[in-house]
Amino acid sequence: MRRYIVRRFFISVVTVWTIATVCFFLLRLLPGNPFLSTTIMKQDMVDKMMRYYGLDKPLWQQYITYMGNLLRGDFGYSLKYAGRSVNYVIKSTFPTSAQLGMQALFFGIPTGTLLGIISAKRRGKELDYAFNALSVIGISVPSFIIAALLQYILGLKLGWFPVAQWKSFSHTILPTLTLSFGIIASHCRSMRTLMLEVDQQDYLKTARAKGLGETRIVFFHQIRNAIIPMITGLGTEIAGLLMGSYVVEKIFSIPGMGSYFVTSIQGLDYTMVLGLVVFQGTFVVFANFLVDILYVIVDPRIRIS
Amino acid sequence: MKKLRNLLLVLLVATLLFGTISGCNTYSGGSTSTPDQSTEPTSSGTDNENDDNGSGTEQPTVKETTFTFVGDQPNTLNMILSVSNIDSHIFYLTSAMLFRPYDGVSYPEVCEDFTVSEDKTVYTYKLRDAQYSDGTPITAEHFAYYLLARLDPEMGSPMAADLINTYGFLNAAAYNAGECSREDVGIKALDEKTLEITLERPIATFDGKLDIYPLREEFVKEKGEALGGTPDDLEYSGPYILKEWVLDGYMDFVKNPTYIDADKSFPTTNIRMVISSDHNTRVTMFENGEVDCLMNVGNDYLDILKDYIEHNPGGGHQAIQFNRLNQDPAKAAILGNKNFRKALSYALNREAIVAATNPSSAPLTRLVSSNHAGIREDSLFTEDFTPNTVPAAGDVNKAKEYLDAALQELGYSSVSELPTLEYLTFEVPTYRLIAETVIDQWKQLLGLENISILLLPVPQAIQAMMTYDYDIYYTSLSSGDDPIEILSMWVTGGTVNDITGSGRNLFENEKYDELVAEAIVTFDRQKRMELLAEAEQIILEEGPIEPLIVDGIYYAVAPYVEGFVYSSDYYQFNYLVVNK
Amino acid sequence: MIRDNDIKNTDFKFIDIGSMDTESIVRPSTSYWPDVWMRLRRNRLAMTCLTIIAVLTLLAIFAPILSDYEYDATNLSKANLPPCAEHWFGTDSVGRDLWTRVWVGARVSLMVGLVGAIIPFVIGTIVGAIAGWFGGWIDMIIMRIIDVGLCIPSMIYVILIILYLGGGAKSLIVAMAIMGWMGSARGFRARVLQFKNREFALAAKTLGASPKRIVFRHILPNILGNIAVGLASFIPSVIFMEAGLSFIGLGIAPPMTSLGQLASDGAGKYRTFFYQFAIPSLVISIIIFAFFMFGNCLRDSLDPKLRDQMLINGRRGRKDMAGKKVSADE
Repeated sequence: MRRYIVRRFFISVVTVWTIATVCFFLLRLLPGNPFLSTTIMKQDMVDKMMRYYGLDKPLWQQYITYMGNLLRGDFGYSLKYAGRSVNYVIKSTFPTSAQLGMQALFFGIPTGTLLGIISAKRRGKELDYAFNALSVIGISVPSFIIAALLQYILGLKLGWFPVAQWKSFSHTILPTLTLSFGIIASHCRSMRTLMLEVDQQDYLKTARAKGLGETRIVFFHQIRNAIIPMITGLGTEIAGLLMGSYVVEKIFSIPGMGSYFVTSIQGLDYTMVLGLVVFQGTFVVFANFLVDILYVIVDPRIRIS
Repeated sequence: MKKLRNLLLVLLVATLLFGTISGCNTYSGGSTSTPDQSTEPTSSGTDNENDDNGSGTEQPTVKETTFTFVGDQPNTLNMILSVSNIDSHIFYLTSAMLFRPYDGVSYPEVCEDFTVSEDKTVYTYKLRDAQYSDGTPITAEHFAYYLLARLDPEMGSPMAADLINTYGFLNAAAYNAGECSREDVGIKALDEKTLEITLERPIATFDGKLDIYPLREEFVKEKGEALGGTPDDLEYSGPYILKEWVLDGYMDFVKNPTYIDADKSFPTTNIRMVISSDHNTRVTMFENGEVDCLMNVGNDYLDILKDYIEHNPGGGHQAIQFNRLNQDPAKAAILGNKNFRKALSYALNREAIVAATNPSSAPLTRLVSSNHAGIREDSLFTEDFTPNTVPAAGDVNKAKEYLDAALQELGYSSVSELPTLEYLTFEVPTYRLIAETVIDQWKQLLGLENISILLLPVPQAIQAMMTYDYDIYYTSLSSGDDPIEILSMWVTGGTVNDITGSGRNLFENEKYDELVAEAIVTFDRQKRMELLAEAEQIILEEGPIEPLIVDGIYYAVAPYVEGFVYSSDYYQFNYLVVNK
Repeated sequence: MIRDNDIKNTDFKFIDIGSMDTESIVRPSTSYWPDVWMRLRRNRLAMTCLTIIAVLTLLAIFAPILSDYEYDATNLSKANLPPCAEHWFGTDSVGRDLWTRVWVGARVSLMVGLVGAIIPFVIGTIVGAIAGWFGGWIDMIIMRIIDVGLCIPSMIYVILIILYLGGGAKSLIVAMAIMGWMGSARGFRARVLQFKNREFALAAKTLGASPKRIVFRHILPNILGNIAVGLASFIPSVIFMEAGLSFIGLGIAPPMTSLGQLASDGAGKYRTFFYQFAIPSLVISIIIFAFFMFGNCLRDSLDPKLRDQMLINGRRGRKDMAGKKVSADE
């Protein structure tokens, strides 16, 4: 077991390094450079800026310099926003995105799972249909539509919640709801499916035949077995949510990290993109690592050789 | 019961976790210097009583007032690397200036007095006593360093060419090309209070009132890469100190008591700039009374805020650019054909296009836009000179005539024989809409079906333009403060004309070059403007661009704000008073 | 509690087994797939969803052809008209008929959704099966490749694809393929893993079955249902993803449009021209909803263990041996 953990850890590190490398070179495939903007500059000015930032050096040399800095935890400075270090951007925006993501998760996952369990137990009845339909609606509507609708109805028309920005707890409610929609819906669906699958298993029939109470069956046997496949995707899901959502952050004017992902790629801000990607990559890879370990612990049947 | 209890247990745990998370304070809003931001409508106001604020320029500095507005977040506050005028808006507030422009006029600030030599090439400025917020005196050396650092080829400033073209300091071009050293440049501090500027030749449009900031070399070197990133990495010598900058959230400014004219201007003690990229949100904040002013109101909301908005015309130009240097000779011939260009231009009803796609802008049928001064300082160039150009509503019949002439010249018997042309534009929603509209108008009115739209992100689009890898490009150019700025972009070797510096120019016209070159040194204002008008006529006829739209902007100001002046380059809050 | 005198011998009646036809065939004879189809047909919800999809597809194909307007024909004097007799869905800000645009956009969304889902799904399934079955180093490498691939922002290669393949539906499909195969590979691998060590698989292995036979003959049928459901759920996810890309600005090249593009253009306008937001949003949501719902029903139909409840008397209730209805509850 321990050998497995050590090996997985090592592989995780290699994965992160691969992510950084692939991203580094992939970015350079895009034509253009960070200094092309609507302020027209002649080529010689652009060249001077490239030289100032060391972007005119041979690519492999830039790569080595970058990796060296990376090992020291230095993501460098943004190329588009002089003086703004990538570390600073991450430090300022990540807590906001993370808080939003976690709120959505802590609200969404239990709610969704619960609804899924209820839906499975009440299978065939009205409650099942209702939850079924609602959960499908929840994943059917693109998030910017949900966001706009919530903003319009709950924020503007009814005035229950602030429409945008990130200034107090009540400001977080609408964006959290928007994000939770999808989470609740997908977890409700998957939990219901898994519960139903497990439901027909022989060991449950045995338990029922033995005369065990339904509650005990549900909690001790059904849920635990159903949860295992759900854990698989949890790592990526959590990591993805903590990184912020461009759509939600844009519509609700939240100073999070999600928008930086998009704008830095659109602007070819190499250092910023790489910094964010490495940050996210580390998160995701290690989240998956933890989840895989959890998986093995929880389900003794699956021993990944 | 057990089932219920377990369920409740799960819910309790989840709620506790949820509560803990939401207790985290990552919020970007609660600052003591601003009134409570809630969704209640208007003026919860400040805690202090309102004095009787007349409209005078003298304000008691004791009273705390706050002005909250929505503006654009600066890209950087590093003066050397700053390229956008979004940044200069902030510099105006945080830094002292040699001359401070206000409402179209430049007033001396740190400069006490200046003299000009006979031949108008040497300008000598005498400085007053002024200091940074930490007490260090501002010296002439600092102003000199600001210019020199931006000309230094090793400091990577993108504005060097601009400075050279606009002012032409002695040896500045050579210095930037690495051919001489800093000491040879005609920007010198003769002593602590004397700054001397030497130009290579007299420039008619330069009145000597340089709107430059002081910059300390030691500070720049100390901060290195971090310069201009956070409030601690800035020097303050201006009306306000940047107290807090929450990334993508807001910027808080507080009045700087050591500012040289602290008691004469900038009466508002606290300024908060809220940063929000969503138009919807901005408008809602304004309606709620959370902000006192919106610097930019989105097109869709002009109706909603119609009681508060004002229009400021004269922004960047948008034009259709034809690449006559296309690698494909057949395309090059078409794109270089004057009749073809005219056909496409006359087919467009600019008024209708503007009304449909971007109501805050205005149709543009010439190169000089409507807020440039003309023969006299108080006249408009656009009124003094009317070129012979396409009417704003277009002229379809003439367009068809031009098209027939073009086809004949080029040897095609019908429009459908033309090779497919590609229209390159930015991946920005307004530009996309304009592209779709323009292409469709050409299709409907001229039968031009072989045109496709290529939408690329900004860097890729500009890269394609700079490598002449396009057919038709939708360009956006700044219009500058003086007609000469935009016209000199198109001389042989000009910024836009010869963008790669390789000597290939999109527009080559000797007469045009002559006229502009002469205008630069013509001090007689009327004569100069006449030369420029003539040059404008030439480029409108023969040039590779067909102007389409001039940007405008709508801003909204609450009625209790007095002394608001809109400027496209600076936040001119010099006499702004908030009467809440 | 049951007391002794509550139940008497006379309460019980002896049913002679001879009086029942033990050999009678209660249900028509059938095999797996026709059975699935029959159950699906009887499922009202599934049929409704299928009908919705069919109707919308037909509209997408024929409505623009039959319409008087071209989807890209601007008419600057008729901008921003709300739905009326001439323009059933109104016009947009440059006077284009929204009815035509919505259905042309639906064409793009559906095509990108269908093709853009099948391709990565197939790729992902194969890759996932290989990873899941063989395990060990192969599994590790494939999973790490997927890890890396998922962490690279998809925007980068979407822009690259648009640059080199133009901006049409073709490049969108390729982009979706690259973005999509990894997710389905991962999910599929997990499924294969689940079944790999089950008793029946181990039994087959003991009996000497080759890996290929085990996968295709034993494991696959168990997961086939999942595959079908997965595909039915993947299509709407792709449509969803395409809407997301449009919001960022990487949608289909103009003047062509897609539902996602229309919806995101409208998103900023819900205060001023609500219909420009509502209509495309509604259409795209309905399409996605119908696919997901159908997937749900498909899954329910595919599970043989759910037959009893669903086949006889439709979805509600089943009969006991004597023909009396009992509740659908376990």
